[in-house]
Amino acid sequence: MSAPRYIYRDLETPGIERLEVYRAAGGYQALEKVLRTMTPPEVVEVVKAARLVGRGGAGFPTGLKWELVAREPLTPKFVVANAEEGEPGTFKDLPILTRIPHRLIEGMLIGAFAVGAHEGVIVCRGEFMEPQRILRQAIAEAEAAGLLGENILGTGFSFKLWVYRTAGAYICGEETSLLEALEGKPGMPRIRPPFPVNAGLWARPTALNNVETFANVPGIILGGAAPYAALGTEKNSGTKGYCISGHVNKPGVYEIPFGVTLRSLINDYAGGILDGRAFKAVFPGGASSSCLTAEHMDLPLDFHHVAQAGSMLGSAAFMVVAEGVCMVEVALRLARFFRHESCGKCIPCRDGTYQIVRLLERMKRGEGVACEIDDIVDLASVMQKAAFCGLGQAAPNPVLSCIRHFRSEFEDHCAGKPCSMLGGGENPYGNHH
Amino acid sequence: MEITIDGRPLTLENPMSILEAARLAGVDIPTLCWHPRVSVLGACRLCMIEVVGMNRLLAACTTRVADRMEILTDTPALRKIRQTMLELLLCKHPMDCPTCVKGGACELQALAYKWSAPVNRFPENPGAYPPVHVSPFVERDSRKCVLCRRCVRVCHEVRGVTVLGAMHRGYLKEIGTYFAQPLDRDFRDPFNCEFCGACIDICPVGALNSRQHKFRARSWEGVQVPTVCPFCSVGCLLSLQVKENELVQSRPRAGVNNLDQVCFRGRFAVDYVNSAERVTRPLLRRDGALVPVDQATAIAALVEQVRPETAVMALLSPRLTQEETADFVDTMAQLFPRSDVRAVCTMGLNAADIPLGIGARPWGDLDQADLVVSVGQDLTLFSPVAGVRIRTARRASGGRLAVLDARDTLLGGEADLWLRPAGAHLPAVLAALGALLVAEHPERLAARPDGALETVFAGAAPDDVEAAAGLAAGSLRRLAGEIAGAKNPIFVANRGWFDPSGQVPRLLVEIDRLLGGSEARGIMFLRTDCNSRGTAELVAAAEPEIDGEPEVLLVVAADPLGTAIPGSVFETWTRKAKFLVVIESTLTPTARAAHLVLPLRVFAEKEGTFLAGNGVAQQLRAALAPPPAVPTLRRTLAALAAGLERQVTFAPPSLVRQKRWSPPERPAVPVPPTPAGQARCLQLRWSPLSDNRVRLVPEADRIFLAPALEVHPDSLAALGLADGGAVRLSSGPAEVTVPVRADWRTPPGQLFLPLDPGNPELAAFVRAAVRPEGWPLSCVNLTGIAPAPARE
Amino acid sequence: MTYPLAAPSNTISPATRERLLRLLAEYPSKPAALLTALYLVQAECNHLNEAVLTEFADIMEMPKSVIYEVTTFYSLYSTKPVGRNIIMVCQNLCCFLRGSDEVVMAIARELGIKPGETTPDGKFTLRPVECLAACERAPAIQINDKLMGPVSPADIPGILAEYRR
Repeated sequence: MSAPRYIYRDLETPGIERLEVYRAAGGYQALEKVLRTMTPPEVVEVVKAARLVGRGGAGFPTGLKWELVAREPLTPKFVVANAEEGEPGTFKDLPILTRIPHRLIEGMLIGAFAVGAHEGVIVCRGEFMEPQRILRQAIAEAEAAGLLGENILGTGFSFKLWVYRTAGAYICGEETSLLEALEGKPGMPRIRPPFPVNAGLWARPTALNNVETFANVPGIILGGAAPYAALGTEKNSGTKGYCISGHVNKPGVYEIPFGVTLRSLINDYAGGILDGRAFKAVFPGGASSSCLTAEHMDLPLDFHHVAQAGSMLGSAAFMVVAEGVCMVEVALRLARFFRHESCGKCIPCRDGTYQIVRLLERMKRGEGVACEIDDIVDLASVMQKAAFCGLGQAAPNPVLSCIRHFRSEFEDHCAGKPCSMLGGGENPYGNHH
Repeated sequence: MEITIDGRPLTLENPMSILEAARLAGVDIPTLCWHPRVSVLGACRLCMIEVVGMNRLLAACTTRVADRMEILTDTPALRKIRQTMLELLLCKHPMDCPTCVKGGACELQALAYKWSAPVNRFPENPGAYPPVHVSPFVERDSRKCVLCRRCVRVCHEVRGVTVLGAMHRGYLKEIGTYFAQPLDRDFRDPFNCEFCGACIDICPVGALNSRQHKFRARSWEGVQVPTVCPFCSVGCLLSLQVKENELVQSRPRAGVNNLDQVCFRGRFAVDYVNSAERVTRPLLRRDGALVPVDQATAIAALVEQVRPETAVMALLSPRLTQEETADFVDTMAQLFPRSDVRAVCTMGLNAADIPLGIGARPWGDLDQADLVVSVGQDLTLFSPVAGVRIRTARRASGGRLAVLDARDTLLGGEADLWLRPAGAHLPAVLAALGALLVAEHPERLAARPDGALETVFAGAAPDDVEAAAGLAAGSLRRLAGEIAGAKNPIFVANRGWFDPSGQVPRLLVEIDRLLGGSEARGIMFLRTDCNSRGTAELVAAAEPEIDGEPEVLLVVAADPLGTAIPGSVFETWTRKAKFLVVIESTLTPTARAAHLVLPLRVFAEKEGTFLAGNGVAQQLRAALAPPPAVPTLRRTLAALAAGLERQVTFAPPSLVRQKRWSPPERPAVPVPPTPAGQARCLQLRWSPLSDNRVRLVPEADRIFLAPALEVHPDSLAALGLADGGAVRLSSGPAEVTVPVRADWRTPPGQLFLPLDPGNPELAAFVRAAVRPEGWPLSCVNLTGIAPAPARE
Repeated sequence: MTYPLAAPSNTISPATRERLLRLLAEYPSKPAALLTALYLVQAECNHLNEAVLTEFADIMEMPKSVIYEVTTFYSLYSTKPVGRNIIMVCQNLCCFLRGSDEVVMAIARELGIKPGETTPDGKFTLRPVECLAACERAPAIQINDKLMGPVSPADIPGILAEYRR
């Protein structure tokens, strides 16, 4: 628990959201270093050497992304921060946005310098009202201090940053949907290629990164690539904001080097399972990941190992479920999320999520028949292969994994057996959608 | 690139999608959302394929081929996906295929037949959506919709209308309109349904249907006869479905001029051939009324009026085929040496006085244009498919677009530069444009102005013209800059009442010649009628000069009393003719005024040729058997000759096809009139509704509006007018009261009146009020006389 | 957007129109400003009904179908009247595990409405939502722009009292 923090350093410092406090704590020194002593390719090299990968879930190497944008001849270029945090279980960006907004701004400035962009946007989910206020204030402070705008720190580098509010659609976390929303359209994913690095916002080269990714950058620049790269596992360097919630005593977000075990995360950081209950399952990467069970307690948590265990780390959003919870209801809650958030473009996602919810609701009502469990499994496998974007491909994961690990609960519901576990009965207020 | 598809080797030169490559190779990959006319969406996932060595499946429509790709299109995994996609669609789809309009022509049926497994694991009663939305011509059934969004894309990308959209999200997504309004809700809105029916054609299922066609015939019944649209000069190809000698449906078919598109008239208005108002027998005026007579009596009545030396006048319309036109011209020359045959277009303008050196170029040229300049009035209202050609070419080429059109016909809003001078100012505007090109862009010119042109351009003062025409200062200079900056600009123009002497096309031809010199390929020119170009090649373009009353006037397939400006030359002749003979297929206002009406076959009963505006010759096929007493025009002419105890020789086909007459390559360009100010000036505009054929189609007045004073919504208050109220128009002694309509197509500050010349009150007003030389733009006084009724 | 929302209105006021035009000037194109502009109008008009959006489409010079596509795609726009205070209760997994169903029911009881409904006085709309990104504070609710959590059913009367004034 004593590893250096990159993302949430100074989180507890009072007033850290204010520019003067942030600067007093060493803020914007990385920017100064970059603007005064480094060239854009050198910045890219440091980020590459640190082996920083995107924190949005896909794990794409950040240095390589920036290099691709930098290489594009087309201008203007854009830097966009994805603050569309909305996957159930994920709340890692909110502290950055509300408490250390200047770290995001500094990271974006460094990214902009590296790729040759002079305009950037922080795209916030519509529900994030307070974070937006804080971000706007932070931007105004930075502008007043000459850290944003024209001729930053007298170096001749210019960068304009603004905040954009989308309007309530999880799909906007998908990068091309986010760009569509930013252009004022329904957030439906684009055909790729072209990729955003080549033709993103307004068909211009765009470095689109997660808030947390940007927040890593100032520390890497100041501390150098090597110490960062030395943290974590062989496959994934550095630290990660691990979100943990659900049935644990101390839900929260913890910055830990990659590779912490599930057991350590739950017991050492999150204070163990709530009220000393028994562990039942955990969704390690938010709503779109497959659940893991007790057998995975000693799994080192990085992208590689979690994938090997048949799930995905995603944004490291651990939702812990204790014994005594109906897994059919768990699956249904997550399935409803995807039905609600499917953009409706492709058949497998639009109609697949709908049918999965329909079948699970039948089971919950005791109207299901056992073979429908296999129908869900079969449909889910097609969705994973055929859906247009990541949302639809991942949507069936939680349901499939619940069936895989807790099939008997589904069978019991199909057989009409009463379920006394949490959520085992009918939803007390129905389905509002 | 060397690739294989299902083991078949294929060499490709150009980059393309896997789907396109497969189609080239003749491999059938199923699709639902993909359509060649619209952008790629990638939504249906039916076209998923495997690439050997890749661990995930790809959609063929959204994936580009790469060298050495080994593509598999039919594997168990792919079959599974296709089955599941279809199952997900079919489980919610109403299974009323036996009574569905699309039955037998439904893509979902065909896909299910080929790819579906006979299982349904998710059975559900459809009916989640309100069942049917209706409008006069298009019917929607959301329950059958597969959300392929082809209709949305064609409406937006091809037609520029954008009335359909994919509303809501996820499983609640539904194709619909703004707040689920019916399609005919509000014609004052810029983006309103034009009832082109492109959405009906492109819909793979029974979610969008033609109400006109519904329950008249199954898709496979009767015969499909390929023919040509009888309306404007674009020359759209049609396929007429005929069952038991009834035209049950008209649909576009692929053609060089129309791609696969058509407009309201080609699709719905051709239904006029089914009208009860057909002239099926000769009609002779007796005691003031037209009474049916046999052909012998009719011919005898005509023969009584003529002698070989009679100066028979004839007005023939470019709606006739090339063959009919030649027959008629030849007959007149042989029977009446002193006869005078003129061509009159649907607007009542001389149809043969336009220089022929223009416009003989394919629409495909637009794909190479880096700038299209569209000039005229209501260009895409007259020729909607011309708008489609400009729009789609631009989407493909990325070229720029400048529009000179007072009225908003959607192209203006899409343009990079849009100037909205009143039509009557257009000649002066073009002269000023020429002057600017000559004075400020000499390096771009391939020729110098000479002859009359020199005077025209020298006399144009751009700043004065801008001021008189109400254009923003400097806008003409910007347009000249756009044109000079373009390597390959193409001019597209149409003709309206605002331009009775054809100055707009003449000036454009000259500007085109200045830019292109001897390489100039001419402008594209849109005319009102299907065979305008052919008619102009066969009929001399004498200026109207006859004063007084024609002894005998033969009007063939034309309707000067219904469609020409009251008081104009051809209308006056028709009205004053001592003996008026009308050869016509329906009872037009002109026919009703005739002394003798002889029946004529409609386009669907004819074989022959139409020469589209750009010179493409296209064949009509007789789809219907005519009523028994309706002979061909040739037979009618032969009967007339026989009645006169003469014989006529008709030209052989080879001569019919030969151009007989052409005006000088470089016509004299008349000096455009000094523009008048536009305050309180009334611009008459022609509405397709005054075409008798269109009026015969029930509810056509929902598409083309009845006469009303059209004012931009923002200009109403300043003029003391109210939407839905009325206004008294007065000019000198003439007065008429017309309704007021807020109209988004009208520019702020201008006044339009879509004229129905067949309306006697309006005709009388126009005849009395409008100075003959100033048809298009005449000053009126306005008195608002009634408040708008409360809306809703 | 300021809270509480305005009472329903069928027209865009001159002041809002003015602000709208200023906003549009900041964006590279009108379509790019669409999402932001819709928020602005919704804040004044309470919701985005046909009359309001028709006026709005005129200002935006965009096809109404496109505006309606966007309005109905995003869940934070409403085409039907909503309460002046919007109560969002997360009902996804983490909050469910920590008792969000009881919180929803407590609010519903307190307001005398069903989830998804608006109180007859137009003061509150209760909207169960999918995720507020506050899982560590589960069960979380957000009233207007203020995120709260964890909340228990017992907290509800006190919380709502503040907004009732």
